[in-house]
Amino acid sequence: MQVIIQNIIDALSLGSLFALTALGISLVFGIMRLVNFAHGDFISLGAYALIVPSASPTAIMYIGNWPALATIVAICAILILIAIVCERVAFKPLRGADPSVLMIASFAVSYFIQNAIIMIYGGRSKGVDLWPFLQVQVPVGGIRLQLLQLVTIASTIILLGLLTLFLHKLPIGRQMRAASENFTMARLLGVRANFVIAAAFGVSGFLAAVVSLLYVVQRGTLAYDVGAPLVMAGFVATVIGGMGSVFGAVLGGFFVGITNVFFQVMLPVSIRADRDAFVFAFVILILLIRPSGLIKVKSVEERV
Amino acid sequence: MTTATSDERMTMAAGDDRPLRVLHYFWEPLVLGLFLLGATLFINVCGGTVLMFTMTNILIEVVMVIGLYIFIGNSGIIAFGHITYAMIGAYADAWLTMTPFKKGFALSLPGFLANNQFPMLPAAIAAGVFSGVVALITALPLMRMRGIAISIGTFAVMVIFNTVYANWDAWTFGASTLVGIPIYVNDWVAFGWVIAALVVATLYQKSRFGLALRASRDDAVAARASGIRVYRERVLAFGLSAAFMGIGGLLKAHFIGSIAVSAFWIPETFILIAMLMIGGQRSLTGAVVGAVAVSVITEVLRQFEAGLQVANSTVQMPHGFSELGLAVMMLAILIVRSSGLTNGREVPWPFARRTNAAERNRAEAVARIEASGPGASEATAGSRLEARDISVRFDGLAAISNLNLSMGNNEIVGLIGPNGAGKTTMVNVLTGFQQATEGDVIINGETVTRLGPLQRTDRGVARTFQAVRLFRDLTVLENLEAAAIGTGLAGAAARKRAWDVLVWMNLDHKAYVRANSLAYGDERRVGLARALAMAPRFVFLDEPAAGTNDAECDELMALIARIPKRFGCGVLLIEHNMRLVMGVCDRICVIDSGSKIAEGAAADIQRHPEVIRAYLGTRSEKSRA
Repeated sequence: MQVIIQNIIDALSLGSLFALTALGISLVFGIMRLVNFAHGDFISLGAYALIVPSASPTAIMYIGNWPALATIVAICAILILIAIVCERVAFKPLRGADPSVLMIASFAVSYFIQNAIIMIYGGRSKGVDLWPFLQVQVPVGGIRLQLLQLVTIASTIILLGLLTLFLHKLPIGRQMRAASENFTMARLLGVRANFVIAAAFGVSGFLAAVVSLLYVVQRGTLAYDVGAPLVMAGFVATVIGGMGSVFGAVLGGFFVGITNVFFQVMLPVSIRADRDAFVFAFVILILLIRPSGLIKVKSVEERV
Repeated sequence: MTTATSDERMTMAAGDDRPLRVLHYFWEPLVLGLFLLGATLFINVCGGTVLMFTMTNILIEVVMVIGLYIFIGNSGIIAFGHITYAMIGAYADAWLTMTPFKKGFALSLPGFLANNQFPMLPAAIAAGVFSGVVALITALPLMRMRGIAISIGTFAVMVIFNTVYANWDAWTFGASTLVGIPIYVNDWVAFGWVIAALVVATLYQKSRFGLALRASRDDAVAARASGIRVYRERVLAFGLSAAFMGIGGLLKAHFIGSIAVSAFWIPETFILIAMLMIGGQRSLTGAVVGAVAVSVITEVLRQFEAGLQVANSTVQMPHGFSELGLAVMMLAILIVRSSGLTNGREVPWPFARRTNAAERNRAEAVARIEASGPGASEATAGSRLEARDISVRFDGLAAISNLNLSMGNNEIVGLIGPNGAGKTTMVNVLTGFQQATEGDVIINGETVTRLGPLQRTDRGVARTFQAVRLFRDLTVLENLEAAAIGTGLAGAAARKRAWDVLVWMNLDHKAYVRANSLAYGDERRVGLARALAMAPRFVFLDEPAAGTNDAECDELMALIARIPKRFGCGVLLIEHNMRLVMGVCDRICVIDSGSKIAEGAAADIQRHPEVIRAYLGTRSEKSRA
């Protein structure tokens, strides 16, 4: 029983991180057809922002030592800013370009950020100990679970709720949905393109901040490509969910997380290290059955 | 050019211009090869060991970027996972070429591989083929996806192979560096492979497979409607392209003497893609220029990292400077000149723009047309297309209800109706772009209702599009050739048919013009010509007269009227322009709100009360008062 519940919690907490990452990618894709490879590097930057910039091999906490709430606010603010700046500098001049060009541009941004991290913080990974109190095991109904995992799942649920409200109740949220349905038409009806796109990047930066904090507590180390596995999973999740569908991205994120834990548990020990290979192969199999993902988005399809 | 001179040229062409044609065919690899040869020679004579090392590296990069180009350049799909095939090639080659002693130290391979060492060249070829075959297999599921999802899928494939190779200790020494690979690659070996890559890439892109794939790159929908097996072409190119990635990977291994799984990951992918994009992803020239330019520039930036003497002071940049430089360069290129330094063009042909082969092709086409007279090909005689009780509903909204339509291969049928009547939907149903909710489409007795656009083209269906959808980066001639290839013709026969249609439509003077620089009227005529180049039994023309003036319309009318006789094919004309429809159609079918309201000869239709009501409306109560 303990094992089963532990596996379920593992799957949900991993799925949460993937879902939040996929969500950040999907929001931006929906509006400007950009598959943002640099989203993973936003996550890395959020983690690095916790420490004092230096190339020394040991990390000295700076923002990470602030009171938790202040840390959260600061990291969110930093990543929102970075995301918006990236959009202005790199993606705005390319607005309307082919999706593959945009994706390559984001690849360049990602390469830039990774090497900037190497330049400033050095290339080796560093240990960090953020919020050790989250690492404790808490008893829940007779079994012991890690507090961090529970926090991860809870904050994901809360964020998804808030985001739904944001997208449906607030004017800017509605404008974002309209823009992702039909960008040109939304503009003709008075939606300001710059504003909506900046908002999408802002929200995406905010989500990256949450993921980076949760992930850094779990991992305990910083590396310049710390966000890479997350962005890979996030990509696959958005494809599985159906490109451009926000709900699909969340679904896809949990799907990838659950698949991952499933293979972790079910594969024989000798090939367990190949788990990622199985996860990604399985994803490709799914796409063979449903090439447009779980949720098909009409605006992405081409009309004849 | 008059016919008199064309006769003269024909006799001239009969003289042997074969060497010139071969030169023209291999012009790009020749020039690019000579350029790299010059650079390699120069460095051999004047440079030191360090420069020779750099040059070898550049040449290996060129092989890989050409490999990448074969897929990306011709398909227009960005593949992010190609570096993984370099890894597969490098390891496969290591299994073949390491000495049994060294293999025994790190790997536990099966006896056949463990106890033998194979000669270098055959091993390299085998390893390249192996990585091509692996890629071909991975492409089977990948290419079923659409657009940007394919790009993401290639990432997934990279993760799969990377994970497997990093944990496959017995064959790859796991994540550790595998050392002891014989070092034999120098600048000349690498140069040899560059030439091989250049020649294969040229042969491929000028073959019917390459042309078909480039057509699909420009417009995948129109390519399918032209009978091009987009899926198959993508898979083939993916395999071929990965084979050269594999060669590049193994060259690197035999150059530095070791390989590690971690050296085939995202940063290496980025550098290759940056080279291709900066040079220009749509031309072989771009691939080579990009690889060389980026290598040279990053090499210079690295000198700054190491500390460079400028005037009297040392300029030193921190580690990572050259990478940042590359990223900025790449972004700048995307923003300022997204088609790269070469702008997607090849090395220009310096002699007369066309070889006289082109002139001869034209003259031959004229001769063929005159010889065949007005008669049509017999192959299509007696064909019949029928649509029975077709209904199409979108979420309950009936676009078409119980529509019947029938036509032979010798008549011109008009399909008219007000906006939103369901005309284009009907064409989509007939051509397989839209599945009918109910009813059947029958061609020559065979029910084709469930078949997609591609299978319909096999049964003689061709169409034009309201939005024209030419293959915009191909020339007019290539547009027609691609369509002819789609119907199964090979190179020379496809070219012949393309010329026949061009000459017949008086478009031959536009043969070498790129489709994206055509005037609007010509664009539409080329669209029609492309459909006819498929030698169809039935051709569906979706508003061919849209945006044309009266004179052009008259010309078009005369042209359409001649189609059934010339090509033995039935024409279904969807049109708003009454002049055209009334002037040319044998029979007219009028639909409104998805139902047929009248059918008959032009004169009857014009008097038909239902038709008048649909088009002009009835007198309302108010106006009667």
